Amino acid sequence: MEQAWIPLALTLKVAGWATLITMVLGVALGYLLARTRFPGRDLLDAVLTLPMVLPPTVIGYYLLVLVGRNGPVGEWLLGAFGIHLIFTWQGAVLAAAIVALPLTFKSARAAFELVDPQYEQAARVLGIGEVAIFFRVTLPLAWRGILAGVLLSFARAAGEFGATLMVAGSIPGKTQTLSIAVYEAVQAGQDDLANFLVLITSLTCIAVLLAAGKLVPGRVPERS
Amino acid sequence: MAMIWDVDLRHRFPGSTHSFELDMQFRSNRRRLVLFGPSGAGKSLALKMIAGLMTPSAGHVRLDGDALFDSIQGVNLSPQRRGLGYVFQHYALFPHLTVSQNIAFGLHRGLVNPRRSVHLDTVSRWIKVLHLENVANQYPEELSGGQRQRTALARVLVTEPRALLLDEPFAALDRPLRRRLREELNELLSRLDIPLLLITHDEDDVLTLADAVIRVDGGRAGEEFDPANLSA
Repeated sequence: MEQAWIPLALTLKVAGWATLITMVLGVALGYLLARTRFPGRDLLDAVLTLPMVLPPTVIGYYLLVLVGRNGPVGEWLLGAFGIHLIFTWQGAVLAAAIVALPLTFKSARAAFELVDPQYEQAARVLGIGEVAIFFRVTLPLAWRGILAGVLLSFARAAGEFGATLMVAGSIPGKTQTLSIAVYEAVQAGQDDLANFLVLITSLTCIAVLLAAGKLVPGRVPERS
Repeated sequence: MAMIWDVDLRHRFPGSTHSFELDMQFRSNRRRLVLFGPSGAGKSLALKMIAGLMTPSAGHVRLDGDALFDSIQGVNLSPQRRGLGYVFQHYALFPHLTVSQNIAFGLHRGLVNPRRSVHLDTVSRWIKVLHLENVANQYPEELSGGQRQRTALARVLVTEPRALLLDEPFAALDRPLRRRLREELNELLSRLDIPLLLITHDEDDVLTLADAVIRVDGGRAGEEFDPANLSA
């Protein structure tokens, strides 16, 4: 079963980076959407939610068009930094991050909306600046809800298939994650390998879901 | 000589059925001033505007002659820079911090909260003055109503505010507790040299704590009068 550990390690690496990126982006976007009003707010929410409802292959196609060699972003990345994302593990990270983002920013938004603005006001009159208020009051009170979303997005990123295959392909040891390895094993008739891959994938996801379930109810700060 | 309070607040709150108009002026030189009126009279809005948590469309807020807000001069200090001690009706104690951490909160700059083992002399002094020694390491949800109120008071007093703003300080408490805590607060205030502005709908608050009363109704303030004439 030697062949199973390489895709597992790669999956954890890709999902880990994707989760880190979606966490930072998702918390920022969730805060923006929960605490500020601006024209186009609902549209932004809808666009960011798209990866949750669009078929992953469509997301993958969008990404190919954008970051491919001739895409506007891809051309810039290559010219300015010499970065090429297509058929690399970094490309797989990008695909997984886009697909997992809605889970993080939706739960971050909900968690921030549950924080009573009165705590922030109390900090304000105590002389604390806005940035410090975010890190000392708002974020700690929303943290559990955000973390639950982060864990779900890790599970989602680890299980990503369609967009990853389109953007990063299926290069063993390089971009072949667990979900893609399962597909390849079944196609090749390697039932034992497929069984083993499916088993470790399922166990990983169950562990993540259990952890998320412990966090979801959260301690909602009481008012009085 | 400058008045302690010189307040003029004008703001219109549009509503779907009827709008609310705040048009409140008062000046006072009394150390303990109470704005007294029914709920919905605009007292809380006025207090938030004085603290800088809301901005009126016109008017001014002056404390001892210093403009905290002045729509004509274009002055609008942030709540952080007004130096006022605001105690919220439900106290708004930070639920993720212990009593000591809550009290040390305003003294502690930077992006991280004071640690659980925080030890500052001023914090210890206020913990002592307000009899919070036994609960200093507990979280707000473990406290009684009276302890919460004392923690909220300590949290603002430790920052040495220029004035104390109290929003219905006893409304969150059970009735039997109120009388005792009102006496406690009265005793504490007599030892402090800070101007007090308190809003309430409870006559007993006025009778125990006020030097002077201003009646507030429908977003407007009446003339200042003596608490003894309240029932008249």
